[in-house]
Amino acid sequence: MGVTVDVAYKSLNKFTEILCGDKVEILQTEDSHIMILADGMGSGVKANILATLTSKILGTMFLNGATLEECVETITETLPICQVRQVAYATFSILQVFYSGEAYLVEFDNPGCIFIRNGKLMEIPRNIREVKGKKINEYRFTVQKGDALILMSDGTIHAGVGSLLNFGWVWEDIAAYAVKQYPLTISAMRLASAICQACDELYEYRPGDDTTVACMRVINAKPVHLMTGPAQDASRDSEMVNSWMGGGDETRRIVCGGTSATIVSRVLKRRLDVSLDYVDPEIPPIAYMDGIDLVTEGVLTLNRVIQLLKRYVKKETVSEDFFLELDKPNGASMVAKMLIEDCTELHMYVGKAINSAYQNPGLPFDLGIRQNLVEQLKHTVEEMGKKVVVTYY
Amino acid sequence: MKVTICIGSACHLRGSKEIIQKMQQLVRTNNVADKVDLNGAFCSGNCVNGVCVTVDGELFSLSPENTESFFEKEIMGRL
Repeated sequence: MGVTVDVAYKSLNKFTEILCGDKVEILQTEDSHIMILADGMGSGVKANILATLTSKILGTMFLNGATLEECVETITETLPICQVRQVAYATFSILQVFYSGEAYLVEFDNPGCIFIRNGKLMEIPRNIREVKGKKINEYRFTVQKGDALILMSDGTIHAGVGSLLNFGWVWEDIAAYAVKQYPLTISAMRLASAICQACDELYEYRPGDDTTVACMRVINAKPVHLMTGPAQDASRDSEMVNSWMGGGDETRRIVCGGTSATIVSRVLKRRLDVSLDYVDPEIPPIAYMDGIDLVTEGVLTLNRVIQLLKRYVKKETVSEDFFLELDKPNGASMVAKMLIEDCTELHMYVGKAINSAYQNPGLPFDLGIRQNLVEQLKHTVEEMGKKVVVTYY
Repeated sequence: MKVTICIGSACHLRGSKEIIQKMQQLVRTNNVADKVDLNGAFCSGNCVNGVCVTVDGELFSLSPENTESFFEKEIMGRL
């Protein structure tokens, strides 16, 4: 079937805690995506260690093809035993989605996975198996494009307990809220973030427990081609532009750089319209070209894009404010938004020519840092769990 | 008359934004919006000398400080 996924998660730390006692691991194998959510017992350092160990062990063993039994046994025997409760304990959920569309869900003591298809809540059947004394629910199914699967730690269902809500935010109500948010959000991050935000509000911004929402949405592949910088050897300009123009109808194309845009305009014989609209005083205006999704200035814009993406990768700062910033009409926000919300793989076409005017120490910003920015961009987008390919010219 | 102002990286750092604002205001106060067409442009290849501005294809290098005298001379002067 050839599906890919958009994966993201958002955590709230228990009020006053610096570390989160929930941990999410996002992994890719040759033929699948894996998302693991572990919730360590207690809070703070201890919970963080339990959750980290659990998610890392599960991830590493799963990647190497271990069976569920082996994984669970290893966890039970590895986790340090809690002094207070005399048990070693972390709950976990594992979701694996293969490119073929086959999916495998394993749940141990976390709130159940929320499964949304065609805007409706799907039931996940109970199929309990006892593994090393632990009751584990297993479910094998097939995903379709558009499906959303949400894993949560129990901080979600405890939101508002004893204050705003007598019994916390019960699973059915969270599921109903998720179904309502599903058509309003495109990316996994916005869906996870919306649910987390609601939990935070129910907790009156003082979460009583670590709270994590991890979301996977099944989508078609959305490649983005980004061209920046003129080729070192100008005779390769058209080769570079033609490769960047390659790809199917679903491919989005961005060009970051005034000179690059001028080259594209010349090679493709399409008019370039440069706007004078300074919507952000620090980011030069964007330009327009027929059939090209986004045309922006280069180095200054990319620098801001990287700042935004780094904020996104560091989950703590991803809030509704962040998305408001992302929705702004300046070039950098527009590039960052496309890379975050509308991209499953990034292909960069990078020219290595050096603009001699940029070697001018009189400028208040070092413009000769394109390749450094490209490297940073590559790493950051990879950290977001997306494939990145860079071709130099 | 077609006037372009470069907003490429180097020109931006040298004050494109301020020059654009001044020009837009000068066009308004001199009441020549129907005669002067202000446009953005990307790199004109003369980044070293200042913000690249073209008037009907002729290239000039500006700074925010000399924008007003430039406007008087090269734009109002040609109308």
